[in-house]
Amino acid sequence: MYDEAAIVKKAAKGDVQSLSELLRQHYSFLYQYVLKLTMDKGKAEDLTQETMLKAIEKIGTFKGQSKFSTWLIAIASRLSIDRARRYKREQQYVQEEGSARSLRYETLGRMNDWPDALEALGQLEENQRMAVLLKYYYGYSQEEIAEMLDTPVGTVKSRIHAGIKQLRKEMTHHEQERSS
Amino acid sequence: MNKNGAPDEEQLWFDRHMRSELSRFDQAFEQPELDPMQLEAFVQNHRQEMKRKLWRELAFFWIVAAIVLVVVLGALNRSLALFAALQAAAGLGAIGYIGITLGKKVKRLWKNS
Repeated sequence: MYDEAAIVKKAAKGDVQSLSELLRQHYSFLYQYVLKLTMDKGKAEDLTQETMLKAIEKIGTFKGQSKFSTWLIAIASRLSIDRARRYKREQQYVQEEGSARSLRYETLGRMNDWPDALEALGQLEENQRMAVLLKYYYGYSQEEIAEMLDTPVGTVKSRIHAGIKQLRKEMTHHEQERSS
Repeated sequence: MNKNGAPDEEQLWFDRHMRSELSRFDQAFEQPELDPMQLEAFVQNHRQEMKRKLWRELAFFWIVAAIVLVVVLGALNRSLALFAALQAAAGLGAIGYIGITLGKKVKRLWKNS
């Protein structure tokens, strides 16, 4: 039987095989989170790899108080925030447009459509998208999110509020467009 | 859940309008499992790289420590006043650094409460 706590313990003590096993088990989950967060395949691949490298460096500090997946999500989210700070807003916009188009194209190939839900999610600012995904899709509480992102609870609340409001507005707009 | 234990309205809205499409998206981008041998090599390589970096940093630390020690001993040999001034400056610097770091931490805790 898969006993995550025991594997985490071994990995934290420096066992390479256990750490590799944990990363293998969570690789797809991590990639899927980062892809929804960035809406950019290239960025998602880079961020997934960066997160794994950080996890290898920091595994000794992981005490197993949360699930390993939660720990990975926290690392990926913080790395994504750091990256966003590094890039200038304007440059980011031009790049995001191109990558969003390419993700849309690939998703059409894999899912046969580009759902309104993804279009609406893609319209959010990345920090709002992160807060909304963590709260409503992954089910973390506001306090847990604040701790994961090392951000005040008030900021998390306002990002969630603004994000979900914007999502509802976008979805209503798409529904109206379709019905007219 | 809201304070009364009922699922909050926004969560219900999200589950109704977003969840299934996002799950489909996840399924569409499910990644194939990584090769365990390759992953082990990846972990091992990064560990070795970290060790090398640690040794480099340690060597740099010892060199800086030796320089500081030489400067301090030189100052002590030359004049007691210069030595005292250097010690006072280092002490003030340390207090300032700790003060700023603690201040930031308290500010963050205060914002979170």
